[in-house]
Amino acid sequence: MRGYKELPIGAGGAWFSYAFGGGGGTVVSTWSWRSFRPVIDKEKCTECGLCELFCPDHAIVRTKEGYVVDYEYCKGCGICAHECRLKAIEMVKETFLEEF
Amino acid sequence: MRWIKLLESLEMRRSQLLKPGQQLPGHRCCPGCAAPIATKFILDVLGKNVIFFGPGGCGHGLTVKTVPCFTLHFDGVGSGAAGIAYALEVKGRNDIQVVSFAGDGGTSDIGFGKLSACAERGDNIIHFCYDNEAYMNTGIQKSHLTPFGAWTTTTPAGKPTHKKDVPMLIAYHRVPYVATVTVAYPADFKRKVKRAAEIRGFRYIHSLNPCPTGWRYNPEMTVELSRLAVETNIWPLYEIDKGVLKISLKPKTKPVEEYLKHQGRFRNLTKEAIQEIQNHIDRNWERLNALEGKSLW
Amino acid sequence: MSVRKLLSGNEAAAYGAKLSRVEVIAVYPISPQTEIANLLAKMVYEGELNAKYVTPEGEHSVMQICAGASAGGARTFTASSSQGMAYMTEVLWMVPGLRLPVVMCVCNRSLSFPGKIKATHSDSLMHRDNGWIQLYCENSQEVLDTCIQAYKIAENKDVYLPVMFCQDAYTVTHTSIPVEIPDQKMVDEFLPPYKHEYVYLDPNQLQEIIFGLEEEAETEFRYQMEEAMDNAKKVIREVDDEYGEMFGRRYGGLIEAYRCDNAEAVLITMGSITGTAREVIDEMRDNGKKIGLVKLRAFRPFPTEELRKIAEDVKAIGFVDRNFSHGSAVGGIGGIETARALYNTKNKPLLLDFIIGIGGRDVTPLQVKYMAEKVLQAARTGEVEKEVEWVQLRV
Repeated sequence: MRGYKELPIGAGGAWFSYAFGGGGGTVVSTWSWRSFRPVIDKEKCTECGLCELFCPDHAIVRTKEGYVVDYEYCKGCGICAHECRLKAIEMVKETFLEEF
Repeated sequence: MRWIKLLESLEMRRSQLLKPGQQLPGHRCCPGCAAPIATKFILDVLGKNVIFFGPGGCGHGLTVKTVPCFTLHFDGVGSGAAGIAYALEVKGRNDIQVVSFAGDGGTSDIGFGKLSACAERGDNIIHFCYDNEAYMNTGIQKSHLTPFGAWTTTTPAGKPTHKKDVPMLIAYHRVPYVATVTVAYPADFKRKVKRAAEIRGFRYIHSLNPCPTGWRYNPEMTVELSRLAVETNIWPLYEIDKGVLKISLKPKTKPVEEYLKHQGRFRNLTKEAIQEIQNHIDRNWERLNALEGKSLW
Repeated sequence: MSVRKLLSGNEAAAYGAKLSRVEVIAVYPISPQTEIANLLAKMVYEGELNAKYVTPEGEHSVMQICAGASAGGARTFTASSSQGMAYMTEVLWMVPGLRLPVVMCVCNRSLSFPGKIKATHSDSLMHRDNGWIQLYCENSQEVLDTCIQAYKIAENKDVYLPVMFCQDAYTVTHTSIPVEIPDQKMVDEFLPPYKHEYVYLDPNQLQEIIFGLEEEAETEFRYQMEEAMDNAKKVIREVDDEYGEMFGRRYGGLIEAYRCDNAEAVLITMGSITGTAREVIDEMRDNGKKIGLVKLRAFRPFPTEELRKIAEDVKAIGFVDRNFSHGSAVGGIGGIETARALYNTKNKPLLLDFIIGIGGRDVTPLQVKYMAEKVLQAARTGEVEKEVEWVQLRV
């Protein structure tokens, strides 16, 4: 936690928006919100990009190896699986709680 | 072991993400919220030369963006953004768009007077309303844009009055551009934002944003529900460009039940209520069709 | 070339804004401030002032527009009064928290009801907690000079707090005296263009986004503002000195001590009452009475050090409060602040509080003399007859 000498001046603007520069809230890792995780079937995927278009969390990214889910930020909402025309995404029950 | 892996991926993604003009992940909106999808579309079109004013309510979760944001609480929509627009005009920065981002509460309830004043003055801002049809962030309380019959915590018996037609009300202030959009039609959404960005003056874009938390449905249905809203004529997509109304999509109309049946907030609707909604929607659609192609004033 | 003109307080405020080269003006008319709105619109229309003139629909929007414009990088000016100040209170609290240097001219008017429209200081004093710097002006000349000084104070990088400079409704706003309007070029030299070092909205200059957990830090931000207020004391004095050297008029910084040398008792006044009090003090001094006058120019930051220094040599202080605080500890707001400032000093003087001038009731020389005599009497006898006196009360 920063002391008053280190906090930027003017940064006390609305709850957690800094009133200058970038949007200013803090990025939080939201992987722990998930109950289900999307799994992409590479065989069925034609890389149409609809999942990336509709994902609210920027959690499906196009890479050289095709579309990849960023499990750091995926909240498991399921919009990608629902919108995929070819049913190439399956929502699988999340297991990370058992790993701890 | 697991924590170290997480931190590594954090660094990699961070460098990919810190480009200007982006809505970042790691925001606090509910899973399946349509507001981040809408913001993503807006920023795709407007790029980095944009200043956002005042996400309020649920939009507080969206404050992680790589564009400048400024907020004075959600009742300052319109006025606060106008202030920024005036400063930019005085400084000669005509390349920067000011977007006033507000929910349905800030737009049609507490901030309605401000919005009307901005429209009257012709302030050079784009007002974007993300309409999730209630005060969602404070616990699903009714707003003026809650539809007839919807359950909210302050109207547990269902709202007794119909939704206020804010886009039309703003249009009659004789503003240069008004449009309705929703997230299920991204090309239409982006085209309208682009058109708005070309015009100077007060521009108003109203987006229907399904909310899994408040409307009570499985989050995966967000895009599907916004599509159904258009297909049942509950949320007609149109634009009013310099006073001339143009309907963007004339779907093969489905009955309103197709839209209502998925949502928990409409669970206790009686047959009469559903009929009332159907009549209201039909009348609205007829009226829009009658006005099409004509100048509103 | 400086020009001399017969100006009322409102006109002087408008001229002050014009000389300060304000860029965005958002004013909502309210008596007694309407002339400011009208005159500034006229100046912009006739090309005398190159600014964006906005017509908001209410004071709540006024302050929102000013805050937005200030964050966007423009120098802003606004003016308001009692009910308007109350209406914009919600946003008024945010402006110092966001460290935006907005300057506002407050035409002190009573808050309804039972107040109507004449002079009382409650409307600005009710905002004494939130971080706005408050300067009180005695006459039109001071209004014009203080407006220009206010921008220099607000935009100082150790301060960055908004400033309200106050004038009494109708007594100052609507009465005219000859005022010297300084030369624009000299003002330009005194007041450089506005550029905020910390708060700016520019897509090409993004601050760093923080990844990680949320930190709540209101205590720390509020402490930063405390420090800024402390710095403001020094800055107000320096700006006043600099202004005095350039333009020949100075106002003493935070207070002006008038004929306080070897005084037994002093009266402290704020606003236009000071003008009347000067005459009375002069007369009494000529008659050998050892009375002095302290003009409290800055209420925020409160001039604690200056008052403590004066208190070392006097036996009694009388605070003339043109305000009230129902249910307060003792008397009016000025008296309470002074009491706290002097509480821990050794040999502190006796303190009397006078509540006078509420609702614009005219403060006559006879009434000032009465108050001065009361304070001298306390100094002589070592006892306070009445801690608080509502001087003009009709019984």
